[in-house]
Amino acid sequence: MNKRFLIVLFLLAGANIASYAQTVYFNGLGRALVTAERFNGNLLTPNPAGGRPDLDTASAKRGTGGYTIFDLGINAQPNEGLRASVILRVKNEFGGFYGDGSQLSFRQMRLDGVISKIVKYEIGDIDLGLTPYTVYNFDEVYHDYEADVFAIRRSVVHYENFNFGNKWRVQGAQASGTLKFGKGIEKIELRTFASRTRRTNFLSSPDRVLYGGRVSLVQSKFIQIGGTMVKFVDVMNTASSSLANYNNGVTTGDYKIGYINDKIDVALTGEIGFSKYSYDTNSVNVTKDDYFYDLGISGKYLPLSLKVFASYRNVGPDFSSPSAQTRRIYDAGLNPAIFKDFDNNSQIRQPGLFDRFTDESMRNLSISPLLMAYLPHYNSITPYGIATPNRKGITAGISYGDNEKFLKADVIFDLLNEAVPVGANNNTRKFTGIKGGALFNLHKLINFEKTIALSFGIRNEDTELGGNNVLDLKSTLIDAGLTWEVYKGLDILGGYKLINARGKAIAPQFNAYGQIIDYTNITTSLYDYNDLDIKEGVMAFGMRYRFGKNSYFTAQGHFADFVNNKNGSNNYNIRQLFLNYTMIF
Amino acid sequence: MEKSTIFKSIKTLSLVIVAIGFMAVKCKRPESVGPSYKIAPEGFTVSSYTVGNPTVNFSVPANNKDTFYAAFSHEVSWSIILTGRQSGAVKTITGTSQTIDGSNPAWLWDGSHDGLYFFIKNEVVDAKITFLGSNLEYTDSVTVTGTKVFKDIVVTDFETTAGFISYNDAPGGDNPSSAATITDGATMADGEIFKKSVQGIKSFYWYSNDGGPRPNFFGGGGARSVTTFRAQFPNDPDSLYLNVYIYGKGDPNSRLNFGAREDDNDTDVDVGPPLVNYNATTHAPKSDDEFQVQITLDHVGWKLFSFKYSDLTPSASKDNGGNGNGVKEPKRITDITFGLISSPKGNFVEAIVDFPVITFGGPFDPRK
Repeated sequence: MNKRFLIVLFLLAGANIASYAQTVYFNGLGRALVTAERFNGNLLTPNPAGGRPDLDTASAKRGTGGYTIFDLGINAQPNEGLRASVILRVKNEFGGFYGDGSQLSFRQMRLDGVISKIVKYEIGDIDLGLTPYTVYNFDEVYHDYEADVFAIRRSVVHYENFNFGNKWRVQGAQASGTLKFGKGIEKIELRTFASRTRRTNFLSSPDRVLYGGRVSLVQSKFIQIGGTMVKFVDVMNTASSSLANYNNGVTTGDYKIGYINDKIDVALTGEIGFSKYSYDTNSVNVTKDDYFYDLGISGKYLPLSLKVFASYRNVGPDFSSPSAQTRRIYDAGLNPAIFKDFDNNSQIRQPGLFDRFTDESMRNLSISPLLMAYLPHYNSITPYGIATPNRKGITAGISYGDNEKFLKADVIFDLLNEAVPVGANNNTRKFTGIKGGALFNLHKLINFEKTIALSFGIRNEDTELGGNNVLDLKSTLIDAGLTWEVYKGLDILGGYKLINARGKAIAPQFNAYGQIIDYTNITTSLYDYNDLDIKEGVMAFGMRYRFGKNSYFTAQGHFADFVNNKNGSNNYNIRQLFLNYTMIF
Repeated sequence: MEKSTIFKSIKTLSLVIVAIGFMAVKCKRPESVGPSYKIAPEGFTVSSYTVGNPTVNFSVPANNKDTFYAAFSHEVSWSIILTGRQSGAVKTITGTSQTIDGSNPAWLWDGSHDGLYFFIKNEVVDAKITFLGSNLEYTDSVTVTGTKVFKDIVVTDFETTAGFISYNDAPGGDNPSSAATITDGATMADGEIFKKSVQGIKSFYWYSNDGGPRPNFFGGGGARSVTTFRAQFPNDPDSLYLNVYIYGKGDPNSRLNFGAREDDNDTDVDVGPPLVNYNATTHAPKSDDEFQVQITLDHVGWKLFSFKYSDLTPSASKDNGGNGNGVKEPKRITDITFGLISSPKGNFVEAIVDFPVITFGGPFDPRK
């Protein structure tokens, strides 16, 4: 009731503002999404040896779902210095009728503008992103050459979870400005931000804020130098009886020095920095300091769009940068949105490859002060992004072309080790990775006006630990896709995605201060990493009709299979029909 | 563009980066992180695994630890996971060795638990052993005939009514209905039948419908005298902690005032001249202090709350603990108190509490 009152109040206020505004405009998104799915396989049959004696008669085996949403962005801009915007969301879950069960909510509120044509500011719901070692919302998995039929599903999940690029959606304020110079220095860019990521409960949990800034100096297109500082701290005295004080700071410097002309673009790049962490309670005071450096070189031959690059990085085991190391997806401890139960509703199905790009509820939207748990077969080399602690080694690659040419392709190698051993008297783990792919725009080769595009991507990871403790985990992720425009605006879509993994892995256990205190076997309801041998595949096909650049209707069939080669009684499959009409205006 | 200007600018910022680099490499990096471990190798086998005492009474000082015995083909990192069949309490003991026996104090079980729930008297506890990097596991069991006695001052465990004074805002008074009772199976407002105390079998349950003819915020309360323990209390209010487990239903309107009363003119302890309303060991509401904290019960399930005595605030009511000398003096504490509050007034509110405990030097840690 209160919320509705607020909304009405806001609309009235908005109308009032609008009456004075020079410009009021609207944008938004409308989407209708429907799924119908079936759940089947050995997982629903008895397996007495596996502690599942009874036929599963209770768990859901069919389902339908979906919703209609309408996100209306209202923007009032009385002058260049001020714009007030709000996105109102009306959502009607599938099954609602004539508005029954509809929800009305604010999706976003923001004020922004430019002061004196110099300082840009944003207040409210803002998107933060700086460097990969300071503030960076890294991608959940490698999907550079994902088929369009899957990319559509992932885009819905990203939109619903504010995964816009590599930025974090937070509540706060940020301001930036550019000072331009006539000679000597081209410009200096300044940026500062502050955000409250946790609200105090006024009792034992104080406010927690993320704040910082960046200065970058662009001398010319040849030389750029920057400095970034980010703090993530508890604001003491905002809770009456706080028993802990968390404080984390990251300071980095970065540079790009290069040479560019009509044909070549060569550059030396790098970022160097350190973190200081403290967690002070009445009984303990934990401090951790560590550093990183990431030094690279790249060269590009512009006429051919051919680029080679290499970098060496060393990130310490105690380097702590929560706003760059927080994962955007939960790997553990979450229920999948569809078919969450098996064994007569007594066990939770571990979400799989299919859920990871279709389930809107698996995403983490807050910055975590602790490293989050992860399943290593999805990402073992950089589970916490490029700022993953305790990694050192070389990353090198080559890329060619772009989306507008017949061929776009790249390949990237990772040859990394742990910077220091985990567990005294143990060797360091060795990480070897190769990822890459190719996009073939066949229509450009044969000068055909309608799109015919094939894509192929692969990511292979090998994690090994030798010596007395033998661990070896291999995983391969494969993507293949087809987009064929058979009629103007009408695309046939096809895709296949596969991950298979085998080997052995364990996980460290952390205490409340981020220190490793023990190790544990990694087990889920469907497989474990003591003797892992699994395969997850998703095949999909469908059509998409594009009404315009940002509006489309798509109908797709998805066929997801999970196979545990060590325990076939846990195999299952999901078949899903997916309908989606999206309009962006 | 003058070269000297360019070089001056670059030099300045380069120096900043060099300084950052210098500060970075000054950070000391450990040679390794985490304790050592051993993964079960190929061909790993378990020769034997048993619990030393199939029944154990942790409340008896002479016999308050249990030992585990095991032998393996290789040195390995192992975990013994103890799970109470009734309580759901969990305790994990870990080690890296080829045999397990009583030689290492860290491998003994003293009846403590790791998580929220306490082990219960006379319950059977499964003791499962697992190995890092292996699917092998074996289970034995042990019956707990007596639970651990904590070194901290347990105000009450609510297993009996002894010593706990409780009161509700009775029907016919301000509220149409209310209750204050020790329970092991209360039916809560949403129909949930409360089943599981965090410690022992019973907890204390208040509910109150403050929506009667004279809603007054108050929904009931309780107190337990701690005067017999006061000699142990420190003088420093920074060193004394009040702890309690509270079962919440995610209701922000339900609040619980938790705190302590003092007797500011107590002559049992020589800490100052007597004030008005002398009384030896009894709190006088109109002239003695009551310090408290108001806890919003917007959490779901059991949760441990711990507060430093110095962080508590004086009662807002002059007639009920807000008119003492205003100084937090642990040695003058007479009672630990509870008060169920409806905020805002007029709501149905409820709370379940268990195992209030006083600790010195830090919050309650059941592992100690």
